[in-house]
Amino acid sequence: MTGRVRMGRAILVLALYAAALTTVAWRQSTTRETIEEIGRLSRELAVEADEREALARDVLSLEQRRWVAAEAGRRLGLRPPREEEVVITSGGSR
Amino acid sequence: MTGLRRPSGKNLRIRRRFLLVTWLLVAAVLIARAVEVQLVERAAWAAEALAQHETSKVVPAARGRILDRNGVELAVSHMRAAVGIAPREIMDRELVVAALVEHLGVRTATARRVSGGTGTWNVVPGRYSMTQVEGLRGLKGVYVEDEPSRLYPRDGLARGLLGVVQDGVGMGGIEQSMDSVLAGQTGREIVGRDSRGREVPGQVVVVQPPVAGRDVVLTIDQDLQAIAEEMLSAAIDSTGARGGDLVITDPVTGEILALTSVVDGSNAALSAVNTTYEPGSTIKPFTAAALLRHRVAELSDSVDTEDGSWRIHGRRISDIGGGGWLTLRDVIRESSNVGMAKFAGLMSRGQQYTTLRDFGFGTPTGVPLPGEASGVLRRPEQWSLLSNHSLSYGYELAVTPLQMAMAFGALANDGLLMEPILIREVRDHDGTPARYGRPRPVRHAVPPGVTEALTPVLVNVVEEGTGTRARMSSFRLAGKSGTTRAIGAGGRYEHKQGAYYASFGASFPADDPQLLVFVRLDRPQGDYYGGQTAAPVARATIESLLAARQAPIDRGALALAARHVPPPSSPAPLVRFAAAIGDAPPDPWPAAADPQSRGAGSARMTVPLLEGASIRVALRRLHKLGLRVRLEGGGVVRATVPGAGAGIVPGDTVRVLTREHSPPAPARARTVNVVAAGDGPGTRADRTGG
Repeated sequence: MTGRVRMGRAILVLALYAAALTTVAWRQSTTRETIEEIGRLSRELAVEADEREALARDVLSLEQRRWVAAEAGRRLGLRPPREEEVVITSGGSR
Repeated sequence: MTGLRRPSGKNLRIRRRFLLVTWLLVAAVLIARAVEVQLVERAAWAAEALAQHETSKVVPAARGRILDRNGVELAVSHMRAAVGIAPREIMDRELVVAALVEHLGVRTATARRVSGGTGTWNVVPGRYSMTQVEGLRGLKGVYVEDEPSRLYPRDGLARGLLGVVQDGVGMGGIEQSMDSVLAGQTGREIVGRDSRGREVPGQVVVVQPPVAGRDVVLTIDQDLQAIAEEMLSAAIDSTGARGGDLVITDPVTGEILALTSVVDGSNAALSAVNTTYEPGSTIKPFTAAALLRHRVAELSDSVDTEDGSWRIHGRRISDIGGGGWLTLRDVIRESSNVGMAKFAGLMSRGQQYTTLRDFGFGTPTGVPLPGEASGVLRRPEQWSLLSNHSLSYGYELAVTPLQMAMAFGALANDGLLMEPILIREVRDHDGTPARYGRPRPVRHAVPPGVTEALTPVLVNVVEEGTGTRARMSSFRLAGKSGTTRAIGAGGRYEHKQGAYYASFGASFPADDPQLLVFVRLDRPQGDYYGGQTAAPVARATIESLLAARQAPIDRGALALAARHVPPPSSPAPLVRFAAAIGDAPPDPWPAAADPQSRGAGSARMTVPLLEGASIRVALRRLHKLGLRVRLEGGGVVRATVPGAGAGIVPGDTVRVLTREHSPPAPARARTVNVVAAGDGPGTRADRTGG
């Protein structure tokens, strides 16, 4: 075996080794990138869910009897009816 | 080379051997240690390595929701963030302080405190939304930890009933009593960590998934609960009471539809369940039920109530007014302590005790709430000579407002006492029903015939007796008022002005009860009688729920139960849920602020001073004010009930007592003689009637 052949084999081994290292590094970096992307999306999801919850809470608050009655009185001039002003219809049920 | 001594061949051999042996020994030690590490201590080292690379985390289970009977969320769980600071890791303290102030809204001093100092770890007070903490991401030394938190989206509605959650544990109310159902089971996961101990995103292995808590559906109706809280709050404001309770139940099923208490301005406590008081005249229907049940007396039997004052065993029992012969029916309507005490003397102790016990007094109702008080009903062996008399008008026993509501419910339910239901359903987290709360009868406290006989009497209380301020024009109520002295901190009666409990229980409508309302006010100022303060609250509550969107009432049955009412003279058209105020300046719900001003009447007024006036003059003045008059006797006016100056609304009944007033005993009725069993040491002066 001549020296040139030995040299060629050594370069090939080194090249394969470098390629393997590069592949591992590339895979790790893309994995980390994906994980960071997932983390970012999770945080965005949590923020969106938080905003949705805040909106739902506002809706609940606005649906409350106390607020509705006060606003109906203020804006429309309405008040809860007195007993004799309530018409009971027989269609309703418990 | 002359000065250099070369070692001999022998020495060299020794040195080489020594070196070799040393190396061999070192190698042997190393190998032995390696064997020890790899084989003997393998498990321990493996565990330590694992601990460095992985961490086990408890995964909290989502706590179950609490819903009202219509599925409206009263308590839910959501994620909040806790923020921790590691001061030693902070690179730029001013940047962290600015971020905490800007995103979390904490004060600058707080931000400086948690981000400085020599400590290794500080926690920023409070819990924050995900939106808030998003601005802190990337800051060195700032750590955000998500954790579940409890949210009550209805702004404090049913606060005392629901309780709170602290550190994941239910405290008070349903949160505490149903904690094991709501809490679920925590899970466990393994999270990978990098060389610095930080969690590696995505490297998570769920070892044991968490099991979410179950949802609890209450029998509470959020609309009714809101009405109850509003009415109680308005009554407390208008009467100056220290607190109060309001309970609404379905007497047929025992379901609690609304339950609220106010103690020292807060609705966090539940005095309706865990605080007892002497019920006063509200117990009289139950005393009457005992008399009827044991056939000791009939409603038409009468006793002499003297001049409204009767001395027995050294104690004086007195009434607010009146006197003379009264039937049992009249005794209840006028809430005569003397009359009821005399009637009670006809019963044996056992008869009185068993009936009261059968109505549930002295034992917890079994409502699933922590700290329920059982009340006090002593056994007959422990009674004094006066006890049967005292018990007859509501003293010497202690009850909770919930017990009173359930007992009144039995009167409205053909004598059948029901167990209070607060849990309508328990659902798995996927919505599958796991458990139902079904109506559970406790016992027949009295036969249906007794309650049939008593209902018209209780209707009469509202129509013409002490409960006229609960009277409704469209429906008949059956109710009873009560007033008792408040008990102070030392366990003794308070003798201060206005130190009374005022209460009123009513079933609606009287003929086919769908709702039972029980109101208790703690030390109302000014007018303190139950009929004057608590009765209007019951009426206002029923009036409001009639107009509520989803009140759990059978409107078909109500339409049948309604009595004919001539159309109101008001030009305003009838509407179902709201009435136009018209040209009047907008007024945000004035009626809500003062329940006493609502109902059949309009503005409040006071009873005029009529003492000494002739009957004709008195009648004219009272009728002119729109009041109903119940005249007793003839001649000149001696007094009125309510008295001159008392608050009243049009439509109420005023009893006019005259100087020649001495009503004869009813012709058909038996008369009852009450004989004292002996002298006793009683010294307590009588208190009040209804």
